[in-house]
Amino acid sequence: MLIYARFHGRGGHGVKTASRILGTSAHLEGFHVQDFPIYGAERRGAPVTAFTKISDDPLKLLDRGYIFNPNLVLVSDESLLSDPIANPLSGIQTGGTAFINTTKNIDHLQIKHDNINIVVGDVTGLSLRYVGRVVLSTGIGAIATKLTGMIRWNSLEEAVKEELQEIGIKGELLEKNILLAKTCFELVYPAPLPPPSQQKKYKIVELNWTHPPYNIPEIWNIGNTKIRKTGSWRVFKPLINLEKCTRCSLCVIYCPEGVIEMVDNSLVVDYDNCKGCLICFNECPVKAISYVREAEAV
Amino acid sequence: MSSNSRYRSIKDLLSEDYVVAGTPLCSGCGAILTLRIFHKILGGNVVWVNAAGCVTLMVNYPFTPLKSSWMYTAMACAPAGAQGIRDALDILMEKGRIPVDQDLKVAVITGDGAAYDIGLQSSSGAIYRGLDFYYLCYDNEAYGNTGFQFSSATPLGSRTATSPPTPLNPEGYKKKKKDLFEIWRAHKPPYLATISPSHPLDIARKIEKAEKYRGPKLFIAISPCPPGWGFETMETVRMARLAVETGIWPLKEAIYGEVKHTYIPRKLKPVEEYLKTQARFRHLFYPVKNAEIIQTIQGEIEEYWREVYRRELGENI
Amino acid sequence: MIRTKLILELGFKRYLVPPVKRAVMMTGNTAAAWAARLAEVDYIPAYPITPQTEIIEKLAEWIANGEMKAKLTILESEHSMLTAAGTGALSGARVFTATSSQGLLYAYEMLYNVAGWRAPIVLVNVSRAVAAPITLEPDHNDFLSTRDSGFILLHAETCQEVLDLILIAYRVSEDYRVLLPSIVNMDGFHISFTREPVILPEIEEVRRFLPRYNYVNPFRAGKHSAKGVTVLRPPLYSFYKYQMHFSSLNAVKVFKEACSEFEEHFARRYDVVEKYMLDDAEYAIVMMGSFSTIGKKAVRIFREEGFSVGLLKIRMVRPFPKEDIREALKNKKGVIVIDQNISPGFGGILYGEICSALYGFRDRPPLILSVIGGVGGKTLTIDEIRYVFEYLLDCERSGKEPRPILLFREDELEEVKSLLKVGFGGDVFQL
Ligand code: SF4
Ligand code: SF4
Ligand code: SF4
Repeated sequence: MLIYARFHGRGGHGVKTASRILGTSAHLEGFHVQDFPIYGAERRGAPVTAFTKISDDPLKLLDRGYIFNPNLVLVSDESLLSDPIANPLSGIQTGGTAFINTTKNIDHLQIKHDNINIVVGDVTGLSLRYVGRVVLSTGIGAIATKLTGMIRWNSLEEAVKEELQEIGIKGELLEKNILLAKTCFELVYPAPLPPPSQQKKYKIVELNWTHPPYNIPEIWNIGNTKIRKTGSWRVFKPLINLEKCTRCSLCVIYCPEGVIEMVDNSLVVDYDNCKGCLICFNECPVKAISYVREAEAV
Repeated sequence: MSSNSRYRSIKDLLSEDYVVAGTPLCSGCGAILTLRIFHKILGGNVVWVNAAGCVTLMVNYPFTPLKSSWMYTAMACAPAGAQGIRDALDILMEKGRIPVDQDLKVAVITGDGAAYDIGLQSSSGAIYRGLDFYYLCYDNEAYGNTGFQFSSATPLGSRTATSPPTPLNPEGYKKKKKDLFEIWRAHKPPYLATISPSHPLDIARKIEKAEKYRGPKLFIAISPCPPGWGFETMETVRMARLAVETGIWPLKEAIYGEVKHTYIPRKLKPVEEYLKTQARFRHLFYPVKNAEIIQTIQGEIEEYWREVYRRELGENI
Repeated sequence: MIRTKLILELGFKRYLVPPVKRAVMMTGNTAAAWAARLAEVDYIPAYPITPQTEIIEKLAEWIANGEMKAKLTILESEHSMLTAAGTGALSGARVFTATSSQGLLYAYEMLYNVAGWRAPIVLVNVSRAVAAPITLEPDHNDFLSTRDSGFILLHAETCQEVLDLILIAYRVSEDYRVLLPSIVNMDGFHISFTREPVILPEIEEVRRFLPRYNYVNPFRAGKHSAKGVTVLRPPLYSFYKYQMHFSSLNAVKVFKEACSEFEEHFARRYDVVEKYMLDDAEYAIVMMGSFSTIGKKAVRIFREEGFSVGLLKIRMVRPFPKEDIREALKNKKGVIVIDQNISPGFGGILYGEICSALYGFRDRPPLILSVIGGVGGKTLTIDEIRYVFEYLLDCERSGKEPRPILLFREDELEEVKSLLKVGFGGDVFQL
């Protein structure tokens, strides 16, 4: 038995904690476990990944490091599905399972992978209901735990306590999270997790000296970050009411991303890149800006 | 305030942007907001010289949000990197090898860790030598990039990853914030100022003034940091404004060491308003209020401003 | 007269005698300064440290009295000095700088950076043993600690070689096939403060040899770029590091090309290694830097005594000229590597490198003896070299595996004893 679970989220979603909740509960259940996050350039809001490997046989966990062929994928935000950098379903095992946190139903997700099981659920909504704010780590960790079909509630409860206390969550907030975990744990059923098959065969190439400037770590194509489309980080989407707006320009200046532009005495928002910080909403002196949850915006 | 400034209203700031969207920095990051406003005023012909910090990750291969140039050095030596570029451009122009219109403004951008701690020697050296450069320190009052450990810019009472409040240590961070403004001022640079992203016109006018001088032009910007300080991303600007209005972050400038405040709040908001909205100070309020620490912080602010009122307004309160 | 002597010794008989040029008595430090002046460097970031200071003083003097046009900036540390050197080169200036020992180590982080930026500066290191314990005397631990940084490493034996190697280093570093910085090393005191005759090349000739520096894409208004950027993707990092490796390997060929052009211009010949009475020798001594002079003297004496010995001097340490070393040591009966450095827990650094170059080589010498001598300026005597040579012969006869030798003489032990006695205040020890 071998579980390769890969968690995709954005900085601040708590995917590291989710992977640890799964790791600790499997450990408490007596399995051999490794879990670890990737730290990259990305700050809060950008795609991040964490991994949990579980087996009854320590020899199966000899290869440390990234998981390229998961049999379980947990996606903490549906917008990641179309994010080329996150690419959460890449390499997923045929017959494996992916959980996606979304308010949509499966048919609306446009998933190109055949032969995998998709499980969906609105962890964000549940979290707002039970905890009062968006904490995805508990819910997604609980769902992952249940999907493995090998971990009991007691172990999960213990793991949630341990991991959340570790990041300073205690008291009433912890109780609410345990309630959330319980709800999520009961929401899903164990899923098929066929053992990850041999990874694809890699071909080795021979590198040679490359001509300057290509052998120098430099960027000449300046101002090119727009193509990263950080709009996918958004949880809430700002909406400007142009009738109320007095064209005072404050939101244009205060937007940290510089995505609000004054064009012909009107405001245009580049939603491809608006990160949804809502500073514009907070700073507009005449309250001409409102916001909606991104999932409901379309 | 300079009445003859080009920057009279916020609309005068709607000039070209040199930081395009799509950076990997946190949503609501105060540092990127400050840089954006700063860069607008400075114009596009700039080379930014950087030391390790959050902003370093803004330029991560193959992306750069800047329409200007960028040079990452190492954590301790961004001002020295600026020196090398400035010196090289100067001598090449002097030798007639490059035309003057290919010249660049040289600007250092670092966080507080690099400015207050590991790079202090290097910036002192550059200022002392009279290097013609700008220094923009975005001060988020801790090592934000590594997960919010305290730096010598961390204020009294703050929770950081290395100063957790515990029953044995209820106040969190126990030392007082290092006064980098005064350290730099002791070098008597031509221009030195504190700024806040909540006051963009103040930033614009200060850069406008600084541009007239040859030599070090230094700016320390308060940079609210949503994940580190623990507040909602939408509060970034409000947090910076509160810092100014409670008086904990004075807006001032010093020309050749002569200090003048560019905004003097006549009635300070209680610092509690600023502290209690941030998770890094929550332990000062919950479960029990640590009135002593809060009073210490408030007392120091008041003492600071009493001195300012006396010196700059001739008032004794 | 001096010129004739030099030409005879170096064996340049087939050349036309170059325009008569008087050799001038100067120290290695002054020779380094002259090289920077002749290379018409634009920028010299500096920081004083013994025994390198004279180089900077000389340059400062020339700039101050208008004999040289360059920008000299004294920074507040070597770390900053090297940073400024790197960014200066990326801005299109030809950069020269110099340091020594602790200074080099203080700048260590930036060695890797400047090389990784592909900034082709030339740095002169005046070797001095590294603290602790602190001393002013030379050995090669400082220089050799940089061997994984990406710098091209060249080691000079004489004051003339200091000057010539710096000019050649600019050619190599700035070549588009290399684009890596260089360190030209000289031994403190033995070269830095020792005067000997040095021929100063004519500036026009240097200009013909060393064209103006043109960096790929320097910092300029209107031509923006981002340099020194983070690369967080593991394949990118590997790609750039491999490229540094390939570029460094290219430097062997580029150095040889530059040397043969140098010979045409200045009638002095250099190569990545120097073979001294080696071709027909049965035994070889391998050394580096100014200490090789005593090695050469030993070779002459042993030859007179009827032993077939020669010396191999390693001039280029990075890239490591493996093929040339193999060729030079091919079929020798025994090799003695004398290191002026020590890697505690391993032994001699050069010994390790020579062994790795010879491993797997069909015609490799059967015996390689590691000797450490000259650490912290400890002098080497003919008697010591004779001792290790006899030991090598003894191992060869008896078939014993040679053990590494850490040279130390009885008179030196006596000196240490008497000093310790004073240091501890009495006969409290047994040595
Ligand atoms: S939410 Fe508003 S302020 Fe924030 S990035 Fe989007 S447009 Fe800009
Ligand atoms: S801040 Fe509000 S009123 Fe001002 S321009 Fe923006 S939307 Fe309009
Ligand atoms: S951690 Fe703070 S300073 Fe760093 S990018 Fe995020 S918000 Fe900005």
